[in-house]
Amino acid sequence: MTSDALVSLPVRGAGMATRRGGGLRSRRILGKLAGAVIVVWGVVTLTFLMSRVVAPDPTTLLVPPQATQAHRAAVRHELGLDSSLVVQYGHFLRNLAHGDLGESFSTGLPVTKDLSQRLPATIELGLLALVVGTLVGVLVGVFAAIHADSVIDHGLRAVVVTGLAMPQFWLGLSLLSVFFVQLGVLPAPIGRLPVGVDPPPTITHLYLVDALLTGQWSVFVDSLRQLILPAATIGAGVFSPIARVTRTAMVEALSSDYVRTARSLGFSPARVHFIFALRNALLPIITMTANAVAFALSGAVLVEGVFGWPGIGQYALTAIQQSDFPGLQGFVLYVAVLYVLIYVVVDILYTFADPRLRR
Amino acid sequence: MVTPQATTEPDPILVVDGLTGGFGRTGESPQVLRDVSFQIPRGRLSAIVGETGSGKSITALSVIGLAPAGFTRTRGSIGFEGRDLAGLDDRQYQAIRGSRIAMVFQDARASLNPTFSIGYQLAATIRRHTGVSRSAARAAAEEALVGVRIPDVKRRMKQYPHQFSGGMAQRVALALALSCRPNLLLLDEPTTGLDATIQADVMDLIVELSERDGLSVCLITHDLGVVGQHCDHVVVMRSGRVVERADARDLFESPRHPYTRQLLAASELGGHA
Ligand SMILES: Nc1ncnc2c1ncn2[C@@H]1O[C@H](COP(=O)(O)OP(=O)(O)OP(=O)(O)O)[C@@H](O)[C@H]1O
Ligand SMILES: [Mg+2]
Repeated sequence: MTSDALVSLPVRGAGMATRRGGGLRSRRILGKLAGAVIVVWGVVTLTFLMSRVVAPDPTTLLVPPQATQAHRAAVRHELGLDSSLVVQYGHFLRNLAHGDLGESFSTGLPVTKDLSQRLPATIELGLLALVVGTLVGVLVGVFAAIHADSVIDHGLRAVVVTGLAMPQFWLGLSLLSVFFVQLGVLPAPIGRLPVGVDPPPTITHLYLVDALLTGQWSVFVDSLRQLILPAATIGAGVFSPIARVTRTAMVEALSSDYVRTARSLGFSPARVHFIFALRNALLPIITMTANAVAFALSGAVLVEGVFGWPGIGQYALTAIQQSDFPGLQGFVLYVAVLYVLIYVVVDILYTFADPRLRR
Repeated sequence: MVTPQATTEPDPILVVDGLTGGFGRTGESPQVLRDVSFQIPRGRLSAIVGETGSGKSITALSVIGLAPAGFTRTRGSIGFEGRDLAGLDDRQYQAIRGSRIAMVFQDARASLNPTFSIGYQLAATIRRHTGVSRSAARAAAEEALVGVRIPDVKRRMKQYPHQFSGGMAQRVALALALSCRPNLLLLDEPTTGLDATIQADVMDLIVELSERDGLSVCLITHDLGVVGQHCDHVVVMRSGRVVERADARDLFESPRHPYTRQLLAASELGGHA
């Protein structure tokens, strides 16, 4: 899941307003969810097949090369790799239905446990980057649109294009070299907390929130300082595309007849820009934000790598390197569920944003 | 060229005097308004007519302070209610727009916001200028819709522009423009693009409302039939200039400017001078 591995979610424009008769909105959402389950099942099955057929045999990594054939066979049996694909798949599905994703070949722990340990790190980082990146992106996009084709607009466009073009890990390394190595104002890239600082008591698993809820100010500050650079790095990846689509959609909205009408009725520029025009620019912004959510919450592998961030992206990377089938399947399942959820939520948000999409 | 006939209206609501301006950095090239002067009489219907590109829209937009970006006014004044609007700052202009002067545009459906309900758009406008409570604003909004003869108002309030026909949307646009009881209503080709019968309905409504409220109306149109039927006063424009100003009756009976005669001949309505 690098920055350019963004899977584009389908855009539904106003022109495509669907007007299927009959069904209620809730029924449509149920239909979507049913479709979602099928998509997740398909993705998981595909991963199962790919990992068994394409990936190297994990026993070659787990067993020393000089081991006996018998030892090798014993390990394969233990991992369930000696039975037929069909039997393995049956096992896999039965366990999946019970919420059992198997045990990781590399950590030896249940995959669900591995994931639940690493997910909060990715989510905390991703959410912070998303909130800041989206807000700043929308504001900058609106501002650039208001001043379209001015010097300000060109300057902002240069920033946005740079953000789009710069590889994430490179930006991360640059930020580190400035703020950690040269200025020394931000901490070393060693994960969520400095050495010797204990995590706050667990409530939400998000250190910032937990530290705040339990009043551990110093932990809050420590955790925030660790978050700033990786969040800025991922946030830049969120900010740039959102600023770009916001500007485009706002330029169109601002030149519309209804904005002229709002002005002719005496509304202030702030009201015209942020209420009457922005509301009409929401569809592409929602689409792009959804892409950003998918990107930020599926673990930016390279960014997590650069900052030693113990998140889901790093886990996936290790799983790939070590042919850890169960670990990889767990990761893929998470990402598939995430994407499908985003897709369903986006569909609901569209209908809130644009009445023409309602029935 | 015939000198425009001086209007001797005792108490005009709008006095545009020497309005000059254009696009480009200095407003010199290309110049689209050249010394535009006219008056809109109070409480009656006036029309601005003229060929495409003659500057009718830019003139009306200048009056309401919404000339397109890039247009620069280099000279002239816009007298309205004892003030020169040309000298107002943005805030002062915002207070006047919608409450003292309102404007209705050509494509009504496009000029309503597609993402807000009709009721919201009306109530927001009313609250903008009166600061009344939400419920009072909604009541006033319903009243405004009733005023433009929209049936089933309670249901219509909750609907969105795409659920309105062109004619109905133009009524809503009128309701919006009139919701804060302006004194001067500018209409830029309000019926262009509508079916002929609906055009007639909307025009009748405009005439009726202007009579009911003593509204001063300035109608920009290509339809000389409508002008002859409803308007008292006519301003004829051509390439950024006012070439003739006259009472409608006089204009149709004895157009003084050759261009006016051309216009009348082209519309097969008059020009028997
Ligand atoms: N945004 C703009 N940029 C440059 N020139 C413009 C712009 N808007 C209008 N003009 C020019 O200003 C002149 C007057 O335009 P205006 O829209 O007032 O004409 P009009 O009389 O309303 O014509 P129509 O009957 O077609 O609506 C035209 O020559 C037009 O080309
Ligand atoms: Mg025009």
